[in-house]
Amino acid sequence: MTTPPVALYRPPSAIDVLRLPVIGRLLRHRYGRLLLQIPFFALAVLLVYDGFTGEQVAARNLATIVPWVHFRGMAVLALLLLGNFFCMGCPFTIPRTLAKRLSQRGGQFPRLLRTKWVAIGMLLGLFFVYEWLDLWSSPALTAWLIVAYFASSFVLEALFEESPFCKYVCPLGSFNFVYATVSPLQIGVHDRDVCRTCVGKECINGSYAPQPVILIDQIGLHGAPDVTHTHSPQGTLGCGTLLFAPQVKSNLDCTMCLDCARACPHQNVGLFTRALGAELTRPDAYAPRYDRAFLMIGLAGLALVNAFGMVPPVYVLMQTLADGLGLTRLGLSALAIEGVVLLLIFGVGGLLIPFALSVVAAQMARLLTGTRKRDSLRTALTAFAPAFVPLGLGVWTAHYGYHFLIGFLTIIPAFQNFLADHRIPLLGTPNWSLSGIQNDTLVGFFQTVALLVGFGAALWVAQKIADRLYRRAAFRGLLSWALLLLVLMLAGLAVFSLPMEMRGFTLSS
Amino acid sequence: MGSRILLISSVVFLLVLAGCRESASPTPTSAASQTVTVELVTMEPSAPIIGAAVLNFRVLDAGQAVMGAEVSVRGDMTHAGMAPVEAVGETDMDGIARIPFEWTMGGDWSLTVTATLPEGSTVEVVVDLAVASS
Repeated sequence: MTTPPVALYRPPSAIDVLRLPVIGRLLRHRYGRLLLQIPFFALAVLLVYDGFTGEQVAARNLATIVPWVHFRGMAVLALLLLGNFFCMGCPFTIPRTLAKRLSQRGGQFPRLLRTKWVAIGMLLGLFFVYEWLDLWSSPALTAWLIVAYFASSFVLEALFEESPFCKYVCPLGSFNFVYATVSPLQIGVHDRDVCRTCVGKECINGSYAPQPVILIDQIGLHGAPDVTHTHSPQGTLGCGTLLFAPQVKSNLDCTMCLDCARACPHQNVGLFTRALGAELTRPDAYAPRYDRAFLMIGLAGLALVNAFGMVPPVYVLMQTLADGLGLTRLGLSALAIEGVVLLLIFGVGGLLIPFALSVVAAQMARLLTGTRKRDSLRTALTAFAPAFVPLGLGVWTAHYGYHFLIGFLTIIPAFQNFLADHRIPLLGTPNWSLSGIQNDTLVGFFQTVALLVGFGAALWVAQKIADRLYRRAAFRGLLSWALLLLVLMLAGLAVFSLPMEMRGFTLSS
Repeated sequence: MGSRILLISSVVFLLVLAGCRESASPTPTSAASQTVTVELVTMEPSAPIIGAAVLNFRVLDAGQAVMGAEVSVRGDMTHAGMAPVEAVGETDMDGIARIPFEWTMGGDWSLTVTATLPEGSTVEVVVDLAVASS
């Protein structure tokens, strides 16, 4: 008795971007990614340089303007309109690739750490450090952060296989992975039968072999060599995060490096268009794992807390916590007190409360639909986690969009100043009056729309999941989740209705 | 070998570039400027809040009021992405420069105050303060 072949996923789209003229050829080219990475790498070097040597005023230094005003705003926009292009052009992976080639065969990343819990911890760490050390106000600290990214990427790649930096550690990558699930592009294959019979599986194994001992497709099955394709003498790395192209159902973990498409000797891998957020409602897109679910839920919670960190009530809360916990009486420094208080706000408000509320919502749904015996808590909870992606993206768009809209032109005088500071009078005297949209009503309207669209999409995703999971009892199954999403959305509206302040934290000790 | 040369030459290039920065050069000071003090004496309103304000700076030279000194103020927010606010005033016979200013946003501000004395010497001080939204 033979086992029927497992159906391989194929995105239901006809357009393969990699087969478009010019752009497709450019992306597929051996150095296609490098073409995108080189400008990003040069920019990163420029930021580090200006961060360390330039004027230590955030509003005048490229090291603070580019990452905290432009990068974040444009990353959100790119994820929504295109895909994970910032991971594709990631400059930190240039030394990573070098490390991979230089190092001996690396060891396995510890099994205990091969989960998204690490990513959740790193995200919490990044947002906490950002607020605690006021990274936005320090060009030098921002430059150190960039250096730390390069160093971590290089070291982890040199020590381990499977690109653990991208897949488990990098907080920017984790952010991009989660919100790329909304993106309109996804890796897929043209013909699943080609993959089924492919012997080399170069898309994941890579075709890199400086001194090939044997080429498996040349062994031959029927007494004669069965060469199926031409091997590139230079070879290409396979998927760094170990995704197998015909089985890719989600953009989660996909850096869009397109190494799979370049390595495929059959030209079978493509970058297909799809509907926005299509995978969020697919039943088999995600394994029912708590770590992945809490990454999606936690990022929505952290989005709210990160925005809350910019409005006046946060100072009252911080002072109340510091006094209430007796921290101010312990004789600790203001920085230490702020650290403890901020860690509490981010850890509890950004992660623990959303996690606890989602557990309550899942239990309520099981209770109301009478599925307590049929569905475990994990099944009920992880199924609805994708609904938090559009809501979280709405909050991030409202927040990062705010910084971008009010300050997108500030990069011009900062760059003029940079050149003038090096006695290069190419762009004239800095015009410091350039900033961005200074109309509060217009920016506020944009924020509200972003939040409401995110909420609407979240409800739509939740309703689709409820329909699938509970069928006739879908409304009862949706109720608790819809309520939770509504509460989070209202919390976001409340935060964004308050005046934003560009401020570091100060506590009286 | 080639990549090593590229790396070393890049580092050397960046170091040379850093050395060429004007801001890396020490600000010239005169003997007079070492006795000059510039301080923010009062503000209107006294607790800074978003909106129009008046900043009163006093310029003293060896404890004596300096008349006719030009005082320029550049206000930068500590977060990137905000245009600076600039204003200029001149000291009166009491050494006070009354400078109309605009707090465009709540949060932390860093005021870079430059006083140019009548004989041409300059003194620069930085004043940090927090502005409330309401």
